[in-house]
Amino acid sequence: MPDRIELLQGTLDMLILRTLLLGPAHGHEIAKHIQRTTADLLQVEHGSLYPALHRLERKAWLAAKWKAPGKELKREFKYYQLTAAGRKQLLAEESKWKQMTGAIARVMWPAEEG
Amino acid sequence: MRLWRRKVREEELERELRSHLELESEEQQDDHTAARALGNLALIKEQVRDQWGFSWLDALGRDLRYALRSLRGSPVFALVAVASLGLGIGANTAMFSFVNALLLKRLPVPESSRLVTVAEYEDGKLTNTVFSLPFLSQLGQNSRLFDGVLGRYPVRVNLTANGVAEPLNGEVVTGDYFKTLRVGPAIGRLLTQQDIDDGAPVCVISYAMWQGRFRGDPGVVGMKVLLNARPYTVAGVTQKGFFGPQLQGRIDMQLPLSRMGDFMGGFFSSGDGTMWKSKGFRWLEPLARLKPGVTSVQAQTMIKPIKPASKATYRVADGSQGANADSTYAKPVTVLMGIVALVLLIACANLASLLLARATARAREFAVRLSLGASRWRLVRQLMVESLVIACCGGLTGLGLALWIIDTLLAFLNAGRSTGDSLHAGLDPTVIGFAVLLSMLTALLFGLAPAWQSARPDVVMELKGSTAKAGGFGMRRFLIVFQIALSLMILFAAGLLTRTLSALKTIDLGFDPARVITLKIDPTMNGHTPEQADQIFDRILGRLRAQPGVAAASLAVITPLEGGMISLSFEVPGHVRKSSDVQTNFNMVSPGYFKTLKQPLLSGRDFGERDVKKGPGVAIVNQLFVDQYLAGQNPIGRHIKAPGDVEIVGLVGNARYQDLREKLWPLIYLPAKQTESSGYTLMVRTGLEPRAIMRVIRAVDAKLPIYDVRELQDQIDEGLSSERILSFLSTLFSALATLLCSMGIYGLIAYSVSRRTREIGVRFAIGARKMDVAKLFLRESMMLVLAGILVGIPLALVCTRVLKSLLYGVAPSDPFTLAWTIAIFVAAGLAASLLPVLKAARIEPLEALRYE
Repeated sequence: MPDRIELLQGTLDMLILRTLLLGPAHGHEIAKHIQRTTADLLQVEHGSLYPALHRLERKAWLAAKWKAPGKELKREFKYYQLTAAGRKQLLAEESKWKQMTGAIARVMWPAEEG
Repeated sequence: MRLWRRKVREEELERELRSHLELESEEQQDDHTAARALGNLALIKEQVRDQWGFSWLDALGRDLRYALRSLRGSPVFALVAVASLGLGIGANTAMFSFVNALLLKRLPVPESSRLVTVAEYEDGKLTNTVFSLPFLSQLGQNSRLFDGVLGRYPVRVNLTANGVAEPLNGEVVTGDYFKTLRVGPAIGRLLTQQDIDDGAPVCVISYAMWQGRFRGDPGVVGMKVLLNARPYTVAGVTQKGFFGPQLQGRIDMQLPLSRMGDFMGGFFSSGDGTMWKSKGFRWLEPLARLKPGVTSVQAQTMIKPIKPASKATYRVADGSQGANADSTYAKPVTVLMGIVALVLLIACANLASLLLARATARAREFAVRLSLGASRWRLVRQLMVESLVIACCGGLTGLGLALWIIDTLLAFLNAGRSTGDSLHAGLDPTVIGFAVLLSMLTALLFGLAPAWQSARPDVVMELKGSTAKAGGFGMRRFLIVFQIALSLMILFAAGLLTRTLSALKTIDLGFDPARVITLKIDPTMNGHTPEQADQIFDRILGRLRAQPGVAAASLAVITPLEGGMISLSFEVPGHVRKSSDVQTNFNMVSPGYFKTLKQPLLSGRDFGERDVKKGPGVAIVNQLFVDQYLAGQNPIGRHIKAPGDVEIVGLVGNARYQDLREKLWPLIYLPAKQTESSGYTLMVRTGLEPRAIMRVIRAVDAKLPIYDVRELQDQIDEGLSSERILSFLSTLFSALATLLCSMGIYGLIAYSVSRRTREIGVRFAIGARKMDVAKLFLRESMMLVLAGILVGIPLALVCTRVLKSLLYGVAPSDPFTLAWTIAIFVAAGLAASLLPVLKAARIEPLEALRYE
């Protein structure tokens, strides 16, 4: 297993929003998705995942609904879904992130810029 | 609604996290790994709750409930905490209400900050605070400096309206009075310059009097009333809340200056009736309103004396507290405020110490909570809420207590005062705001350190159940030393003030005040002429002297230690004035004055029946007068000008005159019948009750108003009221402070004993005697006391310098008082540590070794 990298401050919100762009998901799925996509490099602390979800819900960037995942009727999960405001927020954070990584890259590897 | 929603949310959160856990354990196929992956569930919940927004309000509610529950759980602690804090806040609030009333309040008139008083100085010495009408008129005409200058003189008025007579406090005022103060009428009209010029028999009454005495009857305007038996018309009522240009006391009536003869009679109304406007008659208290933009300094350089030859200069001072701001109690109240502030600090230190002890007892609880994921901030917050609850309870108790203290103090202070100069103080918004602020501040003071301390327990040690660690012990020791040092300051100050009181009580008065009754009678208040008044007085004195049980009776303008004085111009032939000459004062007395007071007649004779207006002028002087003006020679037969030619016929011993603390003054006594004075006080040396004396007077004239009946001894005691209050309250507060200190020492030593129980067991086991163990802890407590004393003494010596002007017969660094103070603290320290030390000495070694 590769060394895990701590999530950068403030990036968890963006990752959650981006994950939900694919469709509604519950907390466990979101965590798993982020971990899987990054080949377990990024470890999502469950301790910070749920507070983040509730914070995004309060800001109305997410909407939540209790429902059963398809066939298994017995168990219900809390599914989070991106709202219109959430989509807008994602775009904003994405462009901010791009600007930042671009800026960092220019400092770190000036030669490659040419 | 919110609570219900809250419950649903909690359930949903629980479900959400549980489903997460289930999925995780299905995946891991192991509950433990799953649980570890998710982490601390309680902590996650707490963090999620923090995101819900309203959580702070919610948390506060929970903290409050928790604080109340934990205080209910330790009622003794709660009681001690609330009671000591209540006492501290109560005493501070009460004192602050006096500070507010005496030092902070301003006259309830527009822009009171522009009001100023004027005083006259010569060679840097204060020579006059009262002025003649022409001088004030000249000031008032200087329109570049002033928007009005008023003069006033307080008078007693006997008001008869609707057939009921009642004495009240009034004042005669100049034409610019209401313009200067910017006071308007509630109904009717106020006095004008025209009223003064015409000598119109009109008066203006206060709003309170209109509502009270006249039941708010609008017909009061134009009503005919009798003032000192003369017909007057009520012209109007002043605006609500106005009681004359002074903060203390209560003036209910304004009268035209030119009508002063109706109210002062005798001396003042003699001559052609124009004395009130003469240049030489200085009698009016001034108050002036500066023009906007004019400063006091600018104004005082531009005031010129009325006589060009005079060297007088003038000072203009803040007059926003009125014409004659009463400064008697300003200093004592400030000192007491300082003392109660120290008491509150001590109470806070005590509480902090108690809370530290409590925190030590609860250290395990906090360790458990911390290890379960509570944040330190959360613990600090909760402890602060607990402190706030204590502070609020203490504040409420304090407010109630303050009301009681204020009432009691006011009753005591006003016992010997007429309504004309009674003190007012109470719980107004400023004072209540002060109490609230104080409560919050104390919560911070005593709560923050213990909260901080207990939020940082050594989690591992606590959970293992170790008692070896001494949480906050050092801080508690520091607090005790701090408390002792502060208490020592208070106790030392109290000692000095009490010795001042006893020094003043045992002072040689020069006369014997015991069994002398004084009564004030003024026949001119019933419309009698000065000549008629003289005859009435003669008849009263005659009857009294014939009355069995009356040893002597006489009249005087100034009774000893009443606070009044008369200063007239005089000349002694052959004596050249030196700047070292002490001021000389006068008194106008009837025959028998010295006999009534048992003031020794050293040589010559007393005044007699022959010393009347037509006879040759005579005077009696005291020993100091002879020393200063006659070089110690025999004064009998010498002539002086006082102000007319008089022959000295008698020499009496020195006696206290205006005030106990003053040095003795040279005095000239003139026979009452040879001067133009009125407003006599009747003095009777008798074993009879005052009622019996009043009956004799009523038999002469049933309608004479008799007021201010009291015993001379009481009058002297009342003159000491501020000393008595200072001595009593400072002693009370120092006792309280010492008690708090003792509690602190007791608590600390008891804690130390219980902490070292095992060590004591070991000591006993290897052969220590009970005395050795007792010494161990006695030394600990004495070290604390010693440290406190060492810190306290320099502080006390510095701070008591402030007291200097209040002390009499004792130096601010009096070693005797200091020795007593130290002795009391050593004794208190020993007494406080006695119980825990005994407990230590009785420890059974075997039990102690098993002690956990």
